[in-house]
Amino acid sequence: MNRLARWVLGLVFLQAGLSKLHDPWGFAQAVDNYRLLPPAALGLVALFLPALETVVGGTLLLGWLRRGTAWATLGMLLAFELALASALWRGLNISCGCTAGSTTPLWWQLLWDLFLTALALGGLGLFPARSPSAGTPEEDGQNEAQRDSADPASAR
Amino acid sequence: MTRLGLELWTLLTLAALLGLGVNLGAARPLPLGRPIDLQVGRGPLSLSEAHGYFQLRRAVFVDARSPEEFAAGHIDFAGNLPARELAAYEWQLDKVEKETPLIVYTDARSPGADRSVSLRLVELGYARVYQLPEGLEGWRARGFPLGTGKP
Repeated sequence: MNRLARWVLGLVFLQAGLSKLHDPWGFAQAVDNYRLLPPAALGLVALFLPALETVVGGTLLLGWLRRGTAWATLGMLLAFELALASALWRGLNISCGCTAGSTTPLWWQLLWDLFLTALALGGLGLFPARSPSAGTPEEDGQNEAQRDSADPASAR
Repeated sequence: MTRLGLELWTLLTLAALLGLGVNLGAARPLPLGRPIDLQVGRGPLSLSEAHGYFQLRRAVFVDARSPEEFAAGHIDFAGNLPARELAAYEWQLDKVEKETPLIVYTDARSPGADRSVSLRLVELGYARVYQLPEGLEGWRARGFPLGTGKP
């Protein structure tokens, strides 16, 4: 579960990031369509966000910097969900911009992002059990053990 | 700094370096920290200039919204090229000269539709493509005419 979640999320983020890094102007327009950011912030966001997706996609696949990667993944997913939800709420008829040239309806993309969030929450060890007596489900404990054995360097 | 903080900081730094690197190598870098001009084609065009074109019938107005929204009201004599289903409507351009000024517009519900249609028009070889500033709302606010006239 742990490894599968990392690979699925890693591939999704890497693909989304690279496709947008390839066309920063197109992504700047896609971000502008949401009407959430001032024009002066568009350039920075249109470059930095795909770059962060790419970096996090890479560290997810490689299994590096796991705690930071897990939280960055969750943070980005939540930000995307808020943006999508606000666009849906305002009844905007725009394309998601999630990957370059995507034409997926916003509500479908929101469902997909929620699924990815569930995957991240369940599989990336965001909330490691501090002690067995904390009432953590058994499965989480197993994930933890698996994670630690897969990466001996990750001492907490 | 905690380990988590350090890891997050590392990721953010790597991302910043990657983003800046990509931008440095780009043929057309994005301006950072100042507003971007996202106009497609020729531009900018003022709303009153657009109205001038309209009165003299010197430009073709292109509505980039959905056929339903177009049917509910549009700029008089505009054609409809819905951004979402462009391919099915492009035949209407067959009789439009490449030198004709095309003024593409949308409204606040479909932001960016005018730009994506404009991109396609430029790709098709139209030399004078503009986006209507302030969209249909701006046009309406000035009291400029709406109607159901066909192009």
